[in-house]
Amino acid sequence: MNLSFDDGADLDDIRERLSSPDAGIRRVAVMDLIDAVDDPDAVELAVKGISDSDAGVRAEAARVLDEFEGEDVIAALLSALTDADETVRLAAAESLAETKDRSAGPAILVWLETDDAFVKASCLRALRELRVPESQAVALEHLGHAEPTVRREAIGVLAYLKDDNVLMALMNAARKDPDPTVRKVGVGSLVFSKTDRAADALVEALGDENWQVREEAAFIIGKVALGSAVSPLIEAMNDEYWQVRVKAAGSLGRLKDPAAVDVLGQALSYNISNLRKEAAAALGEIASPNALPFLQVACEDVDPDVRKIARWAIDQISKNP
Amino acid sequence: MTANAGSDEVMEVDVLVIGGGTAGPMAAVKAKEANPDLRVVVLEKANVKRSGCISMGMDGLNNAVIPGHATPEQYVKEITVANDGIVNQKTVMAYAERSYDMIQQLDKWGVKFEKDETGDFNVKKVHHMGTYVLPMPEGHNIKKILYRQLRRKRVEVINRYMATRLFNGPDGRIAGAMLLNPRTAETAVIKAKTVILCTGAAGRLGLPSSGYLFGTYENPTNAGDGYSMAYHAGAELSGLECYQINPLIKDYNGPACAYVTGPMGGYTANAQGDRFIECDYWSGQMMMEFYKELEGGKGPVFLKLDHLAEETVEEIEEILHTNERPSRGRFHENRNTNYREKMVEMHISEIGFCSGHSASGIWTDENARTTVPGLYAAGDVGSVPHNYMLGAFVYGAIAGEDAAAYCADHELPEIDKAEIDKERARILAPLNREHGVPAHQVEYKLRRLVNDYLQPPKVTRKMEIGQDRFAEIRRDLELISAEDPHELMRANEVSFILDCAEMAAAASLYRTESRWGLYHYRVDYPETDNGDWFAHVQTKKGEDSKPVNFKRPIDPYIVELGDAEKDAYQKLRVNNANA
Amino acid sequence: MPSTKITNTVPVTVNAEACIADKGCSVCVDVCPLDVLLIDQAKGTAYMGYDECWYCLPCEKDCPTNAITVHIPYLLR
Ligand SMILES: Cc1cc2nc3c(=O)[nH]c(=O)nc-3n(C[C@H](O)[C@H](O)[C@H](O)COP(=O)(O)OP(=O)(O)OC[C@H]3O[C@@H](n4cnc5c(N)ncnc54)[C@H](O)[C@@H]3O)c2cc1C
Ligand code: SF4
Ligand code: SF4
Repeated sequence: MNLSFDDGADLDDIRERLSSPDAGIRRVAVMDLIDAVDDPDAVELAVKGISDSDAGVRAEAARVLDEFEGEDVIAALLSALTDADETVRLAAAESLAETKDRSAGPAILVWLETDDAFVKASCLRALRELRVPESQAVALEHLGHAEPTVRREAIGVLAYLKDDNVLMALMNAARKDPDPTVRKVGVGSLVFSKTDRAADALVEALGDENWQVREEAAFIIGKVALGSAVSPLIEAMNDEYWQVRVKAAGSLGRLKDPAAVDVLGQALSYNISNLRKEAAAALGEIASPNALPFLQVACEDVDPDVRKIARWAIDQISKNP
Repeated sequence: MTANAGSDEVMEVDVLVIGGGTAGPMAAVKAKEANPDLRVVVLEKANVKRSGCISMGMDGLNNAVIPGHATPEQYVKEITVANDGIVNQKTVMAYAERSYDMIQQLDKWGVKFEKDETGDFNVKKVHHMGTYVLPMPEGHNIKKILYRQLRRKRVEVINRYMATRLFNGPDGRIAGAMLLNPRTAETAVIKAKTVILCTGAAGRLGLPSSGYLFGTYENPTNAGDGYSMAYHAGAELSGLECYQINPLIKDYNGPACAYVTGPMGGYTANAQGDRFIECDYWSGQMMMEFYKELEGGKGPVFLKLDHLAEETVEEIEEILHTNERPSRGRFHENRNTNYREKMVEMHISEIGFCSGHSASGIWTDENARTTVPGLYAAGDVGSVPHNYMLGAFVYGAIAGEDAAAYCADHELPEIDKAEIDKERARILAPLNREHGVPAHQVEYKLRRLVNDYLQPPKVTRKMEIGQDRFAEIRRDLELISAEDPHELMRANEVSFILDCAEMAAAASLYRTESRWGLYHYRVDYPETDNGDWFAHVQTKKGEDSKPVNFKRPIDPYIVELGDAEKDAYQKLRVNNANA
Repeated sequence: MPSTKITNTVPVTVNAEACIADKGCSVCVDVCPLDVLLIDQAKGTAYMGYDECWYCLPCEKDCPTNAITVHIPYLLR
């Protein structure tokens, strides 16, 4: 019996299996490298696996490489992004996105010069976490790429850098991108605009044709406390999607403008209880005595959550001098 | 098959962590970080790569205390109210103060929490209360990351060995553990200066209503091993009458996921599609309301998602069917349940011990120390209430660091050879018996009795009958036979479960009042009695090898509750009494 | 005591064509928390040996060749 590290890897044994003519055996050997991340010699074997003739072996190598660090690892993963086999490509992209090593930035940036949209999107995704300033210019360029996935990741890189100078570009994406998912991400990225510089784009997004973009805009406006957006939010309380109205109600609460009391009070009689609950909470945040008649009715709501929040809201109003 | 009767391999270590799920790996890594020269071993019944509650990830942190969103004081108050005042606030505070550091540590290691587009944590507020949810829909890789840390910090890992008993040294302090290999039936002894128990909940106490022994809410690897081992080592346990009972999807026994579907608009409803839960806290009171609705005319209870937009349902499915309990999609498919069209039937889980969700555990202080010197407990098996995953990590860290310091000024204690021989004979006995009763039959009967006699509403006479029947099962332990090492593991687990059942009955009978909503609802003592019972109920192994109970006073609060907050739980108690 | 055998269906199926246990793979056996998967050395494939499954899926997720399918245990279906 062996009472220590009973599945610790024996690198010599792995090395030997890696030279087997049988692809299955090589594949299992690569998988076993996961038990050897503390062994400096293991990296080389994992990297070698990326150029194996068998796609299964390459896929396992791409997976296990996220355990290792260094130039060779990044280079191997980048090259695997163009592998003939899709599983290998996807695994490589996933492992690449795990890297936290900022010195990998330049190597990844080089690969953004290729034409392949998958490679570009994967590289941008990996760059996002690294937050290296050099990626800003490249990301800006890619906001105009034909593929939505690439544009989406480019926004990610820019938003993680939180540089006010690119706000215009992000606003543009939020407003004009032809793809609704990209517009939604664009709207979400504006959350770092602590001034009202992004106001136009956010308000415009409240009228987007896609409800999820409108929902995101209604939410972000509250998060950045965009005081100038109260009337558009009040208008959004008539949105055909209750989900948008819920977020608008929440944001009106954050903005604490008594002008919203009526529209929120009316929302207390909508048939979706999630919305009634949010509206009651918003009235509590605003804490205006004008809301009392609405809230007293809400204290008898069929939904206990609405009743509870209404009681809390009344309490807030009574505490408000 | 005959077992090895001879000598055991003996290993000597500084810190022995038993259980490599959530708290365990963290404890080991932190002990090693505190002093890299220490010999630190994680012992795991399964394999640390995928063991424990978080093996497939977690839906999110439901008790994140993040600056700017909630303060440690708010959190301590909330837990005090949720646990009807019976808390050692210092232990809750110790968690709250390290909560955010731990999130950042995990984030740095690569654990994926939900972030907004700019990479900041996407904390979700639950209205007007101090609780904050941080979802982790892409948190599947959490075990992989812990494993990587174990390797990098050069912690030694022993997989597929279960601990069966702890040993005490001549002076009573902890001295090591007995090990059994569930594949070969080999035994071994580890001598240790400190032992950190991280063996999770007692998940196989009650029987799920499906009757499937392993269809439990908790990971069924956690049979109650740690509770039993601490008990036999002489440690104090606490709150064992405050059971864990959770809402879940009927038959599937997976959580109902308030923390995924809630922020997206789903909720728990009665047959009419209306919300019915009044209680603000995840607590026994909430379970009481759930139970009453389930059994009442508006029951049963459902998870309601059919009012959500298609895109939202798709998003929920994507998370629920890939994370935490991913087989859920298959379960619904078999029954033609589509979230868009039908509400999903819910039920309550079997009973268990777990401080992660409730408050039952091995008594520890704010340093994770038990009452036995050198013995620590962290995670679900500890006693810090409502601690969940993040609490397991934080207390794992606390235990690891404190244990490392303890090692510096203690020598390795001796273990009495006779004790080792006795324990080896005990655990191997079923292998040497022929024509006995198989473990699964005894386990089924035992857990069925737990349901019949211990499950709330609790009735005095019933629990006493339960005790008599458990005594019969104790005699049956001598009849269990195992055909292979795997069955031998199950046979040993039955004895853990039985210890837990006896402790649950004793503690429940001792506290002659009702408290914590459904968790300790005694039909013949329906009132909460703060005069007599504003105290912890402790359980210890008595002279006659039976559990003894006693009160431990509540430490003075370090965060006083305001009148309104006291009202909140006053109100809970009124509801409780009317149940 | 006299005893008898009863047969249980088990929830895990293994695609023998895809399984590479004969090449040294034992990933599913390694990761199963309940230790209910075994390797049949003669056939060179994995199989489920005990009806004690938590339907938690690490075995299926980590299998390199997608050879494993976990069904919901019959009693819960
Ligand atoms: C289905 C489910 C969903 C949950 N959802 C959430 C959530 O969304 N958010 C949240 O914060 N919390 C959640 N929790 C709670 C959280 O997962 C637990 O509180 C936490 O993971 C407990 O960690 P632990 O280390 O105590 O136990 P575990 O992680 O279970 O680890 C215990 C370990 O001990 C091992 N072991 C047991 N006995 C022995 C023995 N005799 N010898 C050796 N090893 C042994 C086991 O194999 C296991 O690996 C959930 C729990 C469950 C079950
Ligand atoms: S993990 Fe898959 S390939 Fe490996 S032994 Fe199990 S079933 Fe076979
Ligand atoms: S689903 Fe879980 S318990 Fe069942 S065989 Fe797979 S790993 Fe084991």
